[in-house]
Amino acid sequence: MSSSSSSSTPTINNHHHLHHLHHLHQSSPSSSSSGPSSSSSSSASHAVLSPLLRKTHSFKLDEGYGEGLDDPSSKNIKIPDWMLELADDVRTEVAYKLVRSLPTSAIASIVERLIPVLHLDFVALLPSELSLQILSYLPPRSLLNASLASKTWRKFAMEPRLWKGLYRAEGWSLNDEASFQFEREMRGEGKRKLQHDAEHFVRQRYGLNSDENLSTTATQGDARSPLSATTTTTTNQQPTPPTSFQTHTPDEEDLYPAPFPSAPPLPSSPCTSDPANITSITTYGLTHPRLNWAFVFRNRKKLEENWRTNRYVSFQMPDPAYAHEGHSECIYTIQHSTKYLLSGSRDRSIKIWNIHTRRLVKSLTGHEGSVLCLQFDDSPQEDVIFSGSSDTNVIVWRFSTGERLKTITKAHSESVLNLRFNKKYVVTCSKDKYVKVWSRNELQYGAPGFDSAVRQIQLGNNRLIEPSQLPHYIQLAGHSRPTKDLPSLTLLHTLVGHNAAVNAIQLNEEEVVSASGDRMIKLWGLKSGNCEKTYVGHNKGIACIQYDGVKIVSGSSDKTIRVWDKVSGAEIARLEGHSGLVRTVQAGGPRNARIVSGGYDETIRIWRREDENGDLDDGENPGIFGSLRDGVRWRTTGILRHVNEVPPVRSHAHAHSHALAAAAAAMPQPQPQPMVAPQNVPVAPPPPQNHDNPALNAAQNAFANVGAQHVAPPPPVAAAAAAAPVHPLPPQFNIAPIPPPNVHQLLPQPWNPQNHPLTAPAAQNQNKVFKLQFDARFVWCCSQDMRIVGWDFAANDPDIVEASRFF
Amino acid sequence: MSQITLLSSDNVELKVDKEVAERSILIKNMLEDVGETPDQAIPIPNVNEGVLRKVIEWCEHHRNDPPPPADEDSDSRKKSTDIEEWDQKFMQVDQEMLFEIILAANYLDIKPLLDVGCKTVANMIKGKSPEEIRKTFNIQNDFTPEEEDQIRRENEWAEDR
Repeated sequence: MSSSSSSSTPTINNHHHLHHLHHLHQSSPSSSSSGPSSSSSSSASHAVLSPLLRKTHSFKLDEGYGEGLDDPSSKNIKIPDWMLELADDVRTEVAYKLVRSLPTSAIASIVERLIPVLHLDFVALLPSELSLQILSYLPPRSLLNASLASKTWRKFAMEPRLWKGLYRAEGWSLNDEASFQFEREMRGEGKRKLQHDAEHFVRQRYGLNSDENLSTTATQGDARSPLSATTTTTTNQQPTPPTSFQTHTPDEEDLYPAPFPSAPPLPSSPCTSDPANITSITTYGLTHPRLNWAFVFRNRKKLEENWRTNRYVSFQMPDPAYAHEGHSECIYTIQHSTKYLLSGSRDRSIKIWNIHTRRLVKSLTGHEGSVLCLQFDDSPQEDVIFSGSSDTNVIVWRFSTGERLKTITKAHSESVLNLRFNKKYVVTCSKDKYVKVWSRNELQYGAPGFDSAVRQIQLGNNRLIEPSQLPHYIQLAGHSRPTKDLPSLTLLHTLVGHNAAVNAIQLNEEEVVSASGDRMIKLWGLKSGNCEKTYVGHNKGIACIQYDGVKIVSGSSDKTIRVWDKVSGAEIARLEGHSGLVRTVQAGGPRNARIVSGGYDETIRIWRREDENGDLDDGENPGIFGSLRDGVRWRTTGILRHVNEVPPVRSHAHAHSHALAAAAAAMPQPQPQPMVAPQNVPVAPPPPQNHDNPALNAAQNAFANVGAQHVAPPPPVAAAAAAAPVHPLPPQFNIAPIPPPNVHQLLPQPWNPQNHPLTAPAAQNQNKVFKLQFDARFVWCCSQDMRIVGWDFAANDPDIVEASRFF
Repeated sequence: MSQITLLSSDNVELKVDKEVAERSILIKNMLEDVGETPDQAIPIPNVNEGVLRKVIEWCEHHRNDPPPPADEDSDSRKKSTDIEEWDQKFMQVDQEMLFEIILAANYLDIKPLLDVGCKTVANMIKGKSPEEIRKTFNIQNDFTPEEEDQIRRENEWAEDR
């Protein structure tokens, strides 16, 4: 390397180089008129020596490194000018021959001395944005190794932006709102801390902006890079930092002005030992306190590992200490948001629960039959609940007040089995074989959907508006304007095509998929109201369905779950394992590689898409549920049992309030214990016994009849389906006293009926799973039991719990 | 094919096809601002002859590359350190040159070259132990043994996979 031999010229050249850098950063290069002066070419081929090397040399001097260098005689050796003027290749050859003439030990020492020339610490040399870009290509393990190289490297390697990128690259869900708010709060805190002199200096000098995107453009990056700032001080011949910092500045920095500072100086850190601690939710990072994405990443990783290895704690709602707040009969449907869970029960009520306290917030009554389905949105803009019932009505409620806003009376002629809504539509399906589409908003004359609404009125399908009333709404010859808009919840379409009860629907923008006891799945376009595709394959009636716009997931009385490609209609995966009707299914999780399903075999199965090595199958295209590609399979990684999770009793537990339950849960009970001392357990008042009418029960429990025996006359395909097992509700409930919170861990454990009074033979078939929902951390489920059961995969790890609000 | 002249920081003039030079967004924008092919050499005061030749060599080879997708979401896409073979060979240079190329690509705003350079450095880190990383980049370990121990323990969560 030609540039390594000289010891006097580089300083000048260095300044020269920096001068240009400075110039560049101040203005566009096209205006550079003052260009390099002739002085720069005085030393021929190594006229521009990299500024990188200067820094490295001074660094070495700091360390007192390189034994031979301190020998005064060696410093006096001067290479003759004529020799320096030789061409590069000649000097290379001369140097090589000279080196070869030395003893091997001397060669080794030269090699050693050349390390600083050949090996350069880029983190200390490059603008920090470029160092971060380099590190952004590293996987987590490599980044952690890099964080051990030095303290400066650690600050860079633990930089939150890098870990946020890694988090996203894993395909993990991310609560942007929570993280933005956290960052905002942190920034406020950071501002206060910036009053501190050192902080102020760091900001002025390095101008680092934490919110800078990693992929800054060249000019932006340069303008903010440490490089430009340092260059300014150098060219101004005023390299003196504020007095408060002088003690931290090595003398050498004045002698050899570093082109790039070796990252912000340590005094900017509030914590001397490890400023980039991964065990804390906040980090100082490179600049100021921020959300520690390394911490979030690490705990999401632990959480995912818990899903894989079945580490969880289970609990129930209501909190057993408040068992009287619970439903008095079985629960058909649940849905939760970040704060609330809603449940709809055979006791005809809807209950709103606070997820965190596990206490009842409100109970809504109004339906005259079982609440079979509901959907809510607790955001201030929507603030709404829709519920459907075996009383054939749909009720719209205001979420925040519980006020009943509107009722669609006799929305269907039989039980409303499922409903979904979005901003434009409400879609309902029923045992009456129809799917109905309602407008969520008022419809002005001529608005999209108006014509189909008019057609439904003309057909007499709209129960609120008689055909004779139409002149109020439409433009007739000789009349001026319509006098009224069509009201909200006007019927837009009646989707006709299924030959049996329509058990489930999913709404995705302008499309609906429906699943029926006739074993068919149908895709409907909501603009036209036409059936666009039919998916055939299940051997028995279909009970549940999911749709994401690309793939359809269905669960059936034939005990399988199937995944369908929307466009081709092909069945691309079949999940076999349940021993009964699959009543509820949800697909999602990282890279859509998780399916959780529950059914009449009283189990909840967690499925994971894996490749042939048992690794999570990344799927080349996230959003695709997988395919029949060789080696890709869905494997059950865990089985949750509602009955299994009914907690063992800890005799002292009754003393804990609900608020203490979480704390108590931090002490895992390795084994379920036999129920003891029932008199110590707060016992709910006995639920009302109202099960003496099996006929009513069967009618209300429409879902039990997924096997399509409602088909009359049965279509050809329904013949086999009609043979599907029918599970009417057992005539009696036998609910035991509800014990206190369950804190055992590391399930699944062998199911031991002797430890579980609830599973006495008389209570068989009492925990058919009706509905489940999962998110990053929880699985919730409702069943024939009156309690809602949840499984928390944070498994009492306080760090995961803390980080989970960002998941 | 119209040509333009670039002037390196050490005052060496290099002739280059306009199309090749326009791989640099900085130069491209500059030429657009000027409106016509300039007679005078364009000074590139931050890049010396050796580095500039290297950068031009890269631009020559990639002159016909399609423009990178504009709305590339660098966060969500999975970062890959795959580098095409020619670029790998091209990047087989000493560290000083490598970092100079990165600086030049950043200054000249040649994003694909910057990416290749950064990926090359990342590949020098990947799979290495902390000790090997220190050696590769001549980093002085300023952790006390206790600090290092503690961090190693904290990092154990990522040991698998």
